[in-house]
Amino acid sequence: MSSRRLLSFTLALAILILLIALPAFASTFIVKTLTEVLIFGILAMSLDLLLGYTGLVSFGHAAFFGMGAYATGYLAKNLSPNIVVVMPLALLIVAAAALVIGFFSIRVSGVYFLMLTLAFGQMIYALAERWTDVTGGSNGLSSLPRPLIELGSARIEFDDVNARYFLVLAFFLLSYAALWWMVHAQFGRVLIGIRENEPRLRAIGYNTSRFKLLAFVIAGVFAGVAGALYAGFNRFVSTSDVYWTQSGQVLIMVVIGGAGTLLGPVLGAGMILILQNIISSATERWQTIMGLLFIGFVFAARNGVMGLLKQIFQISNFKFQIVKPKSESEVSNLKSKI
Amino acid sequence: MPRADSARGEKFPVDILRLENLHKHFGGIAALNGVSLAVDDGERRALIGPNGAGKTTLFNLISGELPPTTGRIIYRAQNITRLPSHRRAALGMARTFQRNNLFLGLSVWENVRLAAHPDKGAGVRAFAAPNGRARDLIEHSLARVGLHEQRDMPARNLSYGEQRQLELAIALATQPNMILLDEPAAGMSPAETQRLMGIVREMPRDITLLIIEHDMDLIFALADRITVLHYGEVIADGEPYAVKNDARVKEAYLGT
Repeated sequence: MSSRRLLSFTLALAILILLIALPAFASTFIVKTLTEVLIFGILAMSLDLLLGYTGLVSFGHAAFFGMGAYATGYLAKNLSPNIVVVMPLALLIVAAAALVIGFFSIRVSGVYFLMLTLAFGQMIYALAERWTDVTGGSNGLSSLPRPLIELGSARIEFDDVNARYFLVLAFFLLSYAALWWMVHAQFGRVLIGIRENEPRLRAIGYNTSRFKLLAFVIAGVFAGVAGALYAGFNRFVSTSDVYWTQSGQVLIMVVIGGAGTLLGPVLGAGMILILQNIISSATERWQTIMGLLFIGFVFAARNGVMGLLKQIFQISNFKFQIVKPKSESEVSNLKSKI
Repeated sequence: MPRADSARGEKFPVDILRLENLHKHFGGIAALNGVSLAVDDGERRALIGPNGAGKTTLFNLISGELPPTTGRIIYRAQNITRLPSHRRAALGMARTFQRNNLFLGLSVWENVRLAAHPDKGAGVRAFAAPNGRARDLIEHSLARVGLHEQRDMPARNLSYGEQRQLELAIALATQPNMILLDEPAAGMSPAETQRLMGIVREMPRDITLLIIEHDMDLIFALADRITVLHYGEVIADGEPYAVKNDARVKEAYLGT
């Protein structure tokens, strides 16, 4: 293990221990804020699979977040608050919707993809406003039951802030691991290939439409996970959670944090939510300040917080290894094998 | 390296590629005006012609980037006229581009890895790491074009000539029966052209090559046959020296 890998491993372990130990000494306010950061961290990571890796600017990601939240909330009220039952059902609904929306959206690219996802997102918003029997319309879906896990005789209730924090943390770590694995597998390289040069990828035999659709559905499902957790944490879902401004805010989180990385969007979510909490307690003009911050990042730090951190620590994406040149005989041996 | 599976191992002793009366119109302009030609399996065919003759358009029709207005494309006894380009690639057709067309943010090795991967349809195996066979294929392709030392470099850091070599490695790693080379030596220094000529000449003889090129030395060193395109029509087709002395070819190039 190189010293750099050892350093990042130690750092990751330290952060993990801090996250687990946090409720023991932090105030309820901090634990609540961090829970929210982790939920929106999952949402931002899922959007980054499209934005940063595949190069698809989706402006309707709140639709999947909202659907996950509404489905979880409705099912928790009317079926069972048991996560083991409700979550898979809610995610199935989100996946089906993402499959349909993705099927049409990936047929176009660039600004048309953005407009189409925005339009689909607003259709879901309109549905949430009108379908009052299920969504509660503009009153929202309120007084949701507390989430619990019931599996056989085992039963865990998430009654207090700390318990819900640990639930969200567990889902966050699982989501992070799953997405990390995906973007580092061949799948992730293909997505980057689509971003870099899609016609070339088709020319070497890739069915890029199917990869884009798969990425769209996966991103939608993880947004649904975030939505489901949000319903359990907030115990209230409203139409503002599926409104296009929510999609815009997640986009800003990804861009400020650093698109094309997994940790970046999480940092972006953290920065925005924490600043929002701090600034909004001082002034009502917090959105002006967020706007200025966003403009500053787009101009001065296009790669976001992650880009700045990389510059500071001189961590480059590529290892410029010096490879020992192969001997002539080795080369001719390799050539003869072809 | 020829494919191992039986469908690939089949021989097509007559023509691997046959174009029948291909037309391509862009608005009112006829870029191709009834092109018919046949390429033998294993042949090295050069496609030449003055600028604007329709050579690259013809490549785009063969590889499926553009649909023809009318006409048929037969590849390995199969009508591929309406097949999307990724399906043609799956049938063993590879191409390189006139301008370098790489995944610049990925390393050399990852560029070739994309080409060598067995699952290109977003199936379960799209999540798997490259297996031993794919790894061998990547190594062999890199060795063949002489890029094994640069394997960990991002593609954008390669010199122009090396990027062209990487284009070839990507094409080879798809295990093609046929490669369409669009001006492989364009923009290269004489030394780089020499190296490229060596690489192309040493390609296995069971890969059919269709080459667009302006460098006549390169064509005479490589091609078995030459097809001359002029204003979207084939005006000559034959052995290199016969074509060179053809009156209509001289006229097309000299404009007399």
